[in-house]
Amino acid sequence: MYSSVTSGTISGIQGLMIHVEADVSDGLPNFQMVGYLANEIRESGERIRTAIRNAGFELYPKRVVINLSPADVRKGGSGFDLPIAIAMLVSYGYLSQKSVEGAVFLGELGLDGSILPVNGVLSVADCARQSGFRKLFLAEENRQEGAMVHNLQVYGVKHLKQLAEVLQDDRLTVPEPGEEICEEHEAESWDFRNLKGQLLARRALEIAASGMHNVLMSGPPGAGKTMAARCLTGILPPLEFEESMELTKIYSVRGMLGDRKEIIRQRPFRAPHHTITTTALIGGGVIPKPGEVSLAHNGVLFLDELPEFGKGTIEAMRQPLEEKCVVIGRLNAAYRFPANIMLVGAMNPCPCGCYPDRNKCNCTVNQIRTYQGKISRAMLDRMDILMQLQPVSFEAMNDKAVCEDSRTIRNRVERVHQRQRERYAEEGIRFNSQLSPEQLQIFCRLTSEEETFMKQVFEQKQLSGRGYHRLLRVARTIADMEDCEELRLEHLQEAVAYRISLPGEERMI
Amino acid sequence: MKERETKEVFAAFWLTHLTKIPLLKLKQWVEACGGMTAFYDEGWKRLKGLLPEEQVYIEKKIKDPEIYRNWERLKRGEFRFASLKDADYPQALRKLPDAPFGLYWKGKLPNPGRSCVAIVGARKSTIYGQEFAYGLARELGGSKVDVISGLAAGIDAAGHRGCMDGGGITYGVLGCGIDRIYPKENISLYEKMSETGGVVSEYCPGTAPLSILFPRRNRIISALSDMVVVVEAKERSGSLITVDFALEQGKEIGAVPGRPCDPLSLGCNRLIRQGAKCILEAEDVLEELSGIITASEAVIRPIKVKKDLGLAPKEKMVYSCLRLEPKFIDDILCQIDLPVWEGIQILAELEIKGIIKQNPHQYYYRCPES
Repeated sequence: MYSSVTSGTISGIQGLMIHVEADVSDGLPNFQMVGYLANEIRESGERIRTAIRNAGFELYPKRVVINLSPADVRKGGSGFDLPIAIAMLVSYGYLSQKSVEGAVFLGELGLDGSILPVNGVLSVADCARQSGFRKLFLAEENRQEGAMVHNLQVYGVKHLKQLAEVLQDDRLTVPEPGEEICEEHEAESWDFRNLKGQLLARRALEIAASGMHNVLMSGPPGAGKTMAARCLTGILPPLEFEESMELTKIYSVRGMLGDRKEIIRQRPFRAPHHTITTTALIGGGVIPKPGEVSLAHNGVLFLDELPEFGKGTIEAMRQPLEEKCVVIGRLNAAYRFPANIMLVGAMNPCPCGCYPDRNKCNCTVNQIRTYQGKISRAMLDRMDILMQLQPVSFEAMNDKAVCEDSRTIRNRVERVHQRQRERYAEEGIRFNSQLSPEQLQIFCRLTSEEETFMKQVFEQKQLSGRGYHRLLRVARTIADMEDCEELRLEHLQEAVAYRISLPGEERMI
Repeated sequence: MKERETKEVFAAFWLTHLTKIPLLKLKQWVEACGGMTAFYDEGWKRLKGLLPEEQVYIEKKIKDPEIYRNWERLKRGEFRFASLKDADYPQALRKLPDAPFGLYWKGKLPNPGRSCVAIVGARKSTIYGQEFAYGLARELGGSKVDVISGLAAGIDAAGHRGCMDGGGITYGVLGCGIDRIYPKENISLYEKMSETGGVVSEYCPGTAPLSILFPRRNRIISALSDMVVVVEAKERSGSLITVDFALEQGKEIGAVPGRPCDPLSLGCNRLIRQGAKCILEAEDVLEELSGIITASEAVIRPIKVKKDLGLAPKEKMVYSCLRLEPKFIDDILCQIDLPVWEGIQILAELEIKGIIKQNPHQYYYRCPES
């Protein structure tokens, strides 16, 4: 008897509905699975049959064919165990075809028939809702993750037997666990209150957070670069719902949602170590998985000791920084992972770290040049704000005057975010840093006086076209921080200060 | 006649390629043979006291194809060469006991009719020192005084660049072959100088920039100049070698003072204590030069631009905080009584106006010339 059950898989971070068909007929007893399957699915046959038997159903010797369609999509992962088992139960006549219609099944099976959690549930759930399905059956542990999608009934089931009983009898339902109370965990040890002195850094980071601009900090060891970067998390407003969904999908695909499996509300702050490989940073693998740039989507990617990263690793980020996404090409598909990040880099100015204090720094001119040369000009060009930090004095450190804390700054940043959201509602972007050159012409219109100034800047600072656009975007954010709709000369002037002229060929920096 | 001259030049050319034999020893041999041509024409074989390995070395060099290749390059005009006996050879050098057998150059050689100042100093120098050297050389260049230096990084490069920007003529004496550019970052400077001024070397083409070669070329720098000005020098610095040569040659010495505790100025300060002229501005140099050259030879016209900056009160406040020495932006922001954003904005504005400058580490300083 023929049966059909719906399941899903992930392609990139998008869900994809897969139809699992089973046919049980007379003939020589045989069990075969087709449909462009990865090894882990091929070998699941024995596991599924054992699980079904242990759930209390007898499988008579029959000829069984399982097909997963569409047949041109490579299928991997362990989430097909459950739908295959259900399809077989329908084909063997234990369940009716009607009982499984409009439902999606996803889960791995244990030999005893227990249903185990899988990764990427959120993407499948979202796709299921969009495709018009009403019910989703999952492992108990995956229930909360699936339930993030509205307008979809999500059932967490512990055992295949329990699921079969529910499907056999309409009156039975899966017991709903009590709604967990998620407390706002806001134990922030990194607060702007503690970032004393550092006037430039405080201002520059607030601008960066307000418009999600890339930042590069340079300074001797102990200047507070790492601390300044960590403080950023505290001033970034929480994620919007759609942003949350997108990010949670990425974490779900990577299996990084943790035990609680709840939606991510805080903007991510990823700080990979400098020994990270290019694949781990950008994403990739046999079945492409998102990398750190995608895990930091809509948040901060902090690269401490930037010159220590592999040269190729840093340069590989150039394209994602421009496109705001990573596209990984494979022969039969291209996987697109969102990567709209705010890149924060920190570096020492020279191998010993003390340059330009020539009384302390004894590095040769060539050493300094080589060290700074590890960050290419193209990469520097992609930084919106370049700034220098110096260690604070003892007096500044022990200053009794209270600095502004993160909460106050975050409120301001949130207001600027709101402002941008309203302005760009029709544009399909969220922040100033995402403005395209055409959009810049609309939102950063210059008067003739400002144009003269910018021409001077362009020539004096030897800006590239990209550098020029970045400057305008920062100026736009500064204007927004002052609730100013038109771009004024002083905004441009301040933005110029964050654009250090790049090291010249001859003159020592 | 013509042939004999060419032979003389080739002998000198060949002698500059005998890099493994100390120059003074070679000079003794040449004198014993009775001239460069005679030494080259088997004269060296009759000399007594040559070690066997020295004989082998000279024998080898006679046939060295590299020398002939370089000779071809000279003929093609890639660079120019003057032997000790040539009229082109600078008179000032000929007097030296260890005058090189020949001199390679690109562009032109210093004009003995014009006054020339050597600006030397540390390679690892501060922005302050570089800016000072630049400003000094610029004014000198504008006053028709040539600037000579070693085309090294730091002070040397700043001096060359300043002189060129001031419209003057500048010469560089290399510590390597004339066809080698060291350090590499000076390539554009090297190219501009070989067009507008001159690049000079006593070493044969292809000579690598070895550390032992650099102190020796300093005697050429001092010999070709009327005065040596040291901008930044540590207690033990190569610039002080130049000063020693200059003293031997009877040249004037000037030094730019620094703070007593600053190790990068220690060498300069000591020179001043020992009697070197204290150089605070270009006029100090010009004054010293006027004692050397007769007034009719060069028009010494100090250019001094004192323009009214025309700053707004707030800009004045920020500007008054700055010094010639670079100051970190946070320190400036702390000192001025303005909101942070306004301070940053005014700094950028002044920078674009060209009144102040910053290094890429956000240290701001006044432009020396304003």
